[in-house]
Amino acid sequence: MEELIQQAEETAILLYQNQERKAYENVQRILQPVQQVIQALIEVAEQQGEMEKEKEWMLNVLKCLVESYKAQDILQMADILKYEITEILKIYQEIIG
Amino acid sequence: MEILQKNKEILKKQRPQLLEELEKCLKEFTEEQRVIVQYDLKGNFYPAIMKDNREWHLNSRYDAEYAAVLYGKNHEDIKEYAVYYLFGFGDGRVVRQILKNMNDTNYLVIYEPDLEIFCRVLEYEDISDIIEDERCIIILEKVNEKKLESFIDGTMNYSNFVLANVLILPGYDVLYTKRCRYFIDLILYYKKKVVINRNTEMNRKMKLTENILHNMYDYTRQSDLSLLIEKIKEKDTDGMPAIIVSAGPSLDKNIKELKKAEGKAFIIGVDAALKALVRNGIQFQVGISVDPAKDMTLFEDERLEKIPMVLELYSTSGLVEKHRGRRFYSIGYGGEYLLELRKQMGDVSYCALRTGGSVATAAVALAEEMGFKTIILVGQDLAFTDGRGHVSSVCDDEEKNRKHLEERKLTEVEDINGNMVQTDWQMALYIEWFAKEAYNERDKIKIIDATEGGAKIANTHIMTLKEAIETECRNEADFNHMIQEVPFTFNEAEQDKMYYEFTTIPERLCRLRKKLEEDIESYRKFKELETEGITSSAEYNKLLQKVQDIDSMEKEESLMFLIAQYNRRVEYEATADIYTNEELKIGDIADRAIKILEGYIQSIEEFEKDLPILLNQLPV
Repeated sequence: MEELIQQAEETAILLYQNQERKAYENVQRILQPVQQVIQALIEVAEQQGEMEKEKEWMLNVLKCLVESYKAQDILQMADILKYEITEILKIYQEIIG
Repeated sequence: MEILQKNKEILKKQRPQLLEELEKCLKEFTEEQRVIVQYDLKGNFYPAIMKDNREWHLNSRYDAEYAAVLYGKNHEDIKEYAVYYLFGFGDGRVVRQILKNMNDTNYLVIYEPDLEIFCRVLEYEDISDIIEDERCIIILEKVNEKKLESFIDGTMNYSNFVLANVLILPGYDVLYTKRCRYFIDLILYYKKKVVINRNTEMNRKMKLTENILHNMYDYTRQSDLSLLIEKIKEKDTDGMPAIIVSAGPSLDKNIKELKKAEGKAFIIGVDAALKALVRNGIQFQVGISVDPAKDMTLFEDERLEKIPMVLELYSTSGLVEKHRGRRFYSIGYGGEYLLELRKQMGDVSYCALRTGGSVATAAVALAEEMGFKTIILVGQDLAFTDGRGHVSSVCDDEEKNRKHLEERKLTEVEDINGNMVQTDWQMALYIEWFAKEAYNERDKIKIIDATEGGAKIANTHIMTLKEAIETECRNEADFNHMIQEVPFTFNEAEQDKMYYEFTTIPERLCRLRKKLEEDIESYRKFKELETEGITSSAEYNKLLQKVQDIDSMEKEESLMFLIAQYNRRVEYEATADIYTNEELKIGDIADRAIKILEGYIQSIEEFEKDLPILLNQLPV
């Protein structure tokens, strides 16, 4: 998980720097594991039935990431990776390990 | 409002022209209200923009400053004398970071493609430090974007073009794709132009000065091009286009059609097309030739001798000798000395034609100067249509055509029908020039490509010559009569004054030689002190000042430009890596400077040998 957090942060830096090609490759690479992490967290939320707001937020983050990727909105992608995805990954680390 | 006021005050102080242009533009500009004022989580302002039902944030919504710092970190290692071309001003934070990484030898040329963004930034962000920074050149769409090219041209030269870098602010390439492509293409164009200019200068160095020396005398007896332009400008040319006839292979197809435009258009024939025009009995107004080494066989037709010609001061001297009609001179490149004399005589009206490198681009610039609102291009293939390089009057020989093609460095471009066609690198550069010109002048001038073949020139209107003449040639004018009415530049007394000045050139050369010898000595002493490590003495500082002043030699002695032509190879060799070779020490640079100055002394000798070309023409 540490590695994924690091990858997300490094990718965000590349995006802020407009190093598109390298950054896009990274986004493609981490998109699937991030999706899996969110999926796992949603499953936990559903089991516990107490994390409705978090679930909604995480789904929204994922949706925004995919949308900004499609629109090539490089700054939004960077913000999501730097501030939101890393937070989700840290939550995963805490809850699931 | 305080921020806006502060920014405007600094603009007024530091960039009054930009402020004036901005205010003038804003009076007529209706904002579309696409720009949204946003703040990041730390309360920093940044602009966002609505496009395609999506809000695009032009900086980080969390921490705009941090994002800008990261961008700057990627460009920490900026080399001395490097020039950066930045697409997008944004909120100014990235600009500030790049400037932090620069020193006084660098320039940052910023092009903001969205005026609304800059207006919001002026209101909400204190950018007075950026406005104040003399290393910044700010270009704003709709305000001064027409200067973009001249700023790129002015900041790029043979010594620094490898250090030219293009940066794009995040998001700008997606939001302003077309303008971004245009910006990048412009920079690539000027990079190529630097190399081509260098090769051209090396190849034509001697011929250029010989021609100028020869034609200077003729200039005093003929007319400055500005006089012809003024005359034609007197006429309202509505319904009368300028037609520029070039010698591309497609000219064979439609040259006869030009008959229908006689008297209803101002027809300019470029040198290689002149024979084809007279052979087909086309009445045209002027010929134009700007090449310093044009093949004289192109003018071998008696009927051409009296056709008025537009020339550069450096145009082929053989043509001037042979020609018997009116000649109109542009005095741009190489005309510094003549201009100095004219200024001394209190006369500063002259014309220096813009050029994109070819005679046809100069012809377009001429037509624009004359005030024509429609320009029709004919025979402007800019490609090897059907494997041929020229109209049949220039080259009928298949074998020659094949060899011509083999000698050129070929590339492929799209033709007017959407297929690919072969061209060479030089013509590819001209295609870009025409496309740029058509785009830049689109509000004032319509450029029609009526070649009916060859490369597709973007931003032009493609049609047949028949259609173009039918739609555009609606009125009539006797341009030939107007041309004959153009006055000569000088009266006899003024001519005598010019001739007298010409006779004083040898004295000026003696003074220049002496100064160059002194400069060499200064460099030698400077190098000695530098080697001995005596760099804080008064003598060292005095010499440092002196060697810095040597660079302005061309400004002090207007003949220097002509003399330097003989020294171009030495100049290029000595300066090619002067900014890029990090191992060069001050002593090495001084050695190179000495080599250049010695080269100039040698060049004076060669110039003196050629000087009789001018002096022998003067009346006794």
